[in-house]
Amino acid sequence: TTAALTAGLERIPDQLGYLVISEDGVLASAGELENDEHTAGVIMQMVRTASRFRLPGSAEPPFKRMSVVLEDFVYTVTVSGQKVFVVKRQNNQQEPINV
Amino acid sequence: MGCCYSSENETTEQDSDESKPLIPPPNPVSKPPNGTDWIPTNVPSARTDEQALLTSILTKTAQNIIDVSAADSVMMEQHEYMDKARQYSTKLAVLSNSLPQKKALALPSLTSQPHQVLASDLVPYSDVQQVSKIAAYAYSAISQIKVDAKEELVVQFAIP
Repeated sequence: TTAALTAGLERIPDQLGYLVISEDGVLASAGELENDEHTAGVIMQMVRTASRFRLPGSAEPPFKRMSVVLEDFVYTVTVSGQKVFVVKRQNNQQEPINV
Repeated sequence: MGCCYSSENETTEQDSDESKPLIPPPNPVSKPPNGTDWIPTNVPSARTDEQALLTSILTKTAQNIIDVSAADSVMMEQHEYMDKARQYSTKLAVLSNSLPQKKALALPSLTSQPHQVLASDLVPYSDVQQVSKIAAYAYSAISQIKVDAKEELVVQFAIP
């Protein structure tokens, strides 16, 4: 059920919104990503491209999570059971200050 | 990006004439194309792996390139040439109707624990910085690759 898919995403502490996307379209969305079909489309294209990467001698994609790192926030993306999960999280990391 | 469909398993060609090369492959040892610098095959053992790799890529490319200007002219009558052209067009027309439609590839599953994976610590800032630097170097290197044109690329086919 959709609730089972999204319950875990809701609980991620610094999350600002999320999307659950299938080949047919957006299954669920919330927060800053609510109804954001445009972002869903862009992320899907990125995932399709990234999923084709292979390290030499391996048949599997060499990663579990794709992060799109922007100034103040990060889109964390993964694929499970033919569905793409996207969570927009706060990016608290900054340039380390040298004292 | 795209992919040309090809099959090397089909050896049941009724018309073996079809797969006969139009241009006999020139002997790479005796007839090097004009103006090409051939890498000597006796490389000193002191060369790094990178050099060896580069050399093998160059050699492989050179072997696969068909220099139509260096080949002997094909002795084919005009009508034979027209017949062959018509034969290929017909064959293509028949095949293009039966080519399978390209289906969207299913996404491979990356994990069975999506929530855990997405909740994990974010990529450290230092890692992001390092990757950005490496990508910038790679971009700079790639943008400096250029073709050193030595001779005409377009030549006449020698068909009488």
